[in-house]
Amino acid sequence: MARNIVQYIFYRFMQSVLSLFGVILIVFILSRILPGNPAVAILGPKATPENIERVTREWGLDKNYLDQFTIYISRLFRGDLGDSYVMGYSVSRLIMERLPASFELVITAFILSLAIGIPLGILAARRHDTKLDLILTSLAVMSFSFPSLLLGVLLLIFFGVNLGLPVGGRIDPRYSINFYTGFVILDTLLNGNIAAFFDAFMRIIPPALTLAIPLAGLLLKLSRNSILEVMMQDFVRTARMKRLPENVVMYKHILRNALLPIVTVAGLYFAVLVTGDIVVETIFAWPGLGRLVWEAVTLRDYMVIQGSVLVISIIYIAINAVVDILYIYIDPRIRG
Amino acid sequence: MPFSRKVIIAIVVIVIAIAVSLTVTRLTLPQSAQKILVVGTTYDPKTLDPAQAYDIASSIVIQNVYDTLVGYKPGTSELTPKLAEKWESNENASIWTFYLRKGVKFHDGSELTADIVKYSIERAKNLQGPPAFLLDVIERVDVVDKYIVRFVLKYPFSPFPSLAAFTIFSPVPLNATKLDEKPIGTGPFKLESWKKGEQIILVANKDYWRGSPKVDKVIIRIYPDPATLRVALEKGEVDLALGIQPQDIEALSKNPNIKMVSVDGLVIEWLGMNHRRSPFNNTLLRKAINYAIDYDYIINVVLRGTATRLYGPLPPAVFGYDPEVEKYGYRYNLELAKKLLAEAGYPEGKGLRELELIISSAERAERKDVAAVIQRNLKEVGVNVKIVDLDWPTFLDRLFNHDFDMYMVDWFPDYVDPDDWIVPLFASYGLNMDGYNNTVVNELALKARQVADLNERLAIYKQLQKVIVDDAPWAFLYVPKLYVFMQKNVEGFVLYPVYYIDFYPVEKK
Repeated sequence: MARNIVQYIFYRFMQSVLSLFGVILIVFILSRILPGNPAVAILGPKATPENIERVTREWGLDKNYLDQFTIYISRLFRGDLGDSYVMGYSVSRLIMERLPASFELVITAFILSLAIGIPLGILAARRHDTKLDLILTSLAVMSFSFPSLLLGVLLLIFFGVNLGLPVGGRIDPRYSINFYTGFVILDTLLNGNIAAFFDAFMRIIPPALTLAIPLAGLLLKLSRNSILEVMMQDFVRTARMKRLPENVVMYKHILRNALLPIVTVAGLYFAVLVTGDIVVETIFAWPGLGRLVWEAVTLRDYMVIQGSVLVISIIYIAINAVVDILYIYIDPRIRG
Repeated sequence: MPFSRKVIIAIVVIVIAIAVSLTVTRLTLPQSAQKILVVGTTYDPKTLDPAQAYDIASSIVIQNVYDTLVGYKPGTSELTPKLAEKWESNENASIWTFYLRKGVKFHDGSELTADIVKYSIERAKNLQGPPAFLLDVIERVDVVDKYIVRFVLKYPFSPFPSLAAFTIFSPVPLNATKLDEKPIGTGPFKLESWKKGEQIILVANKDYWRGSPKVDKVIIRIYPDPATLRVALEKGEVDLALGIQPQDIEALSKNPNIKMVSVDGLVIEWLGMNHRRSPFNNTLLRKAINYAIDYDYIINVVLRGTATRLYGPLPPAVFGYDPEVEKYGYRYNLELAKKLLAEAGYPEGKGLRELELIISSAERAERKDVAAVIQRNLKEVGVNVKIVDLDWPTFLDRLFNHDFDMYMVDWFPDYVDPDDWIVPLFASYGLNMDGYNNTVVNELALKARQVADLNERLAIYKQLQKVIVDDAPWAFLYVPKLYVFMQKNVEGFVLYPVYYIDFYPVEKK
């Protein structure tokens, strides 16, 4: 048994390493297939041919792809993601500067979607085949088919103009806050600045909602169907026949068994969210990872593209591993 | 209904939480005795080192942290002393002597001297950043005395003082490190912090040689989406907005809480043609295209009056512009266009292949609409155009490899002198994207930069404009105006036709 788990972990680890290598190779090839030369993109339209040649040589872009790739990989093994062509800084630093903002937004969005989606899903399942169920499931379908660009702008105008709340950015720049965690909501509290906390809190809601609403709809639909399926099973009937209180039946028996597909989807979706949403980050002036990648692509900053995609993939793979572990915890059958 | 009570309690709690947070945010705006100017912009700087910066977002910060040798008179592109009190040249404009202001101090306390100017220029030449090509004209820098510095040029170059107004001519202190992040200048503001992708905070330099600025702090915030910047401006979160889109200008100018300043800029937008290829090696065809475009419709309808017409190679705001060009320049004339097209050998467009127009609308969204109008206009005379919208690096790649029939792009000068339009864009030894080659233009352009006498230069540029318009190397389109919007209580801001954003005189009442 123990040996099986060790084997399983080793197998998963090797699988992850292989997929990471695949990601590195594919991103390396893709960024070089893109038309456009980084030296020209950065030096601008007035670049002289000598300057373009010098910069190309300086960045090692005059070498053949195989040599470039070997150099890149050998630097990676030393934990070096390379330097940005545009900014001159190390890629790892650029990513570290953006990660807290991304995580803060994604975690908030995730909590919001769980808080909206699952209770409404339970409600719809309990009242299945009623008008309420119909309304909720229709709203759910609408929410994940609604384009995020439109939703973002609508929420920006609703919160910012109609409600007159602060929007755009993470916090009003006039507050001076000392950063400890990089998460503005926590840092404002650690600074003991309640007004700044509310400002930051109000600012994270519209972008988080833009990300949360489609996921909430998905979770609603998924949890409703999954709960309904479990409700029909024999053990639930048995539990009810034992005259267990309805809440106990729902939370101890039904929900626990219905949770598995929800955790899978929520986990995968969380990983997708972490990659950063360019639309939301642009509309709400949020300095996250998505915009970093986007700006790097528009300037052909190969090292930043490669580095960010690699970091994002590592996060993605790590979250998948966490989801797998959660399975074992939720569903004892897997342990057996 | 075992849920209902819990649900009701939850709803009540949420409502109270929202109500409390609403009142708290409204009541306790950050209190401060300081005068803070919040500036909203759409781009993040790439570097704060004057030797490396070659984009507008970086320049805005550098211009307020550093000073250049030469400045601009308020609201114009005319030159005025700044770190240099005066300058002079030898007869053929190949040696330039600058007399530095005395007693100018860097933020670190060191004094500005001729040695430092020499060091700064040599440093920038060695670093070879994107703007370093502007220094190629300099053979060497000599220190004449503690406050006198001499530039010996490789060839006569009379626009040199206007070049010395570019940010790369900002002196940096000796042996400073990490200037890309921690700039140390002589300018009216010091850098307090820079959070990339988010904001830059500048604080007033109380010991500035022209006297302390009128605000204590400038916070430059980055709003990548111009629509969000507009909302922030209208909500009063931003005092001054740079980078509002043309389509928002009309609505914002009606907002009673917001005021606008605008100025005719120096950017020109044109439709370029590949003279290396048929059919654009045919002057008559290029002229036909010039007459076929409905410029008034583009300017008044598509651009809603946010631009003025460009009739020749130079925009009206640069000295040397010849107003005569408005008489002999091309205007919309469908009949003439058809006639010239027939004379060119393509009656009603017969025998012409489909022409490809490449653009990059990512930087200027309105370019796509303008291109569509041109496509429609040319269709009317029988010329079929296919528009290809590319991202900027791909566009540049094709432009530089001369892989296009037509393109649309804009040009902003590095130094405000006719030389920076004529040589790079029309001389065969310039960038020469179009493959235009007229020996008269080549020779006159070279002569104009070697003459120190202003009147003689003006005469040459007058002639050049006529020759170039006659050749119709491009279809000359328009000159976008520059706009800045601000709250009513912001005073003293002066907009320059050059991209020079100066926070020094700005006040908040």
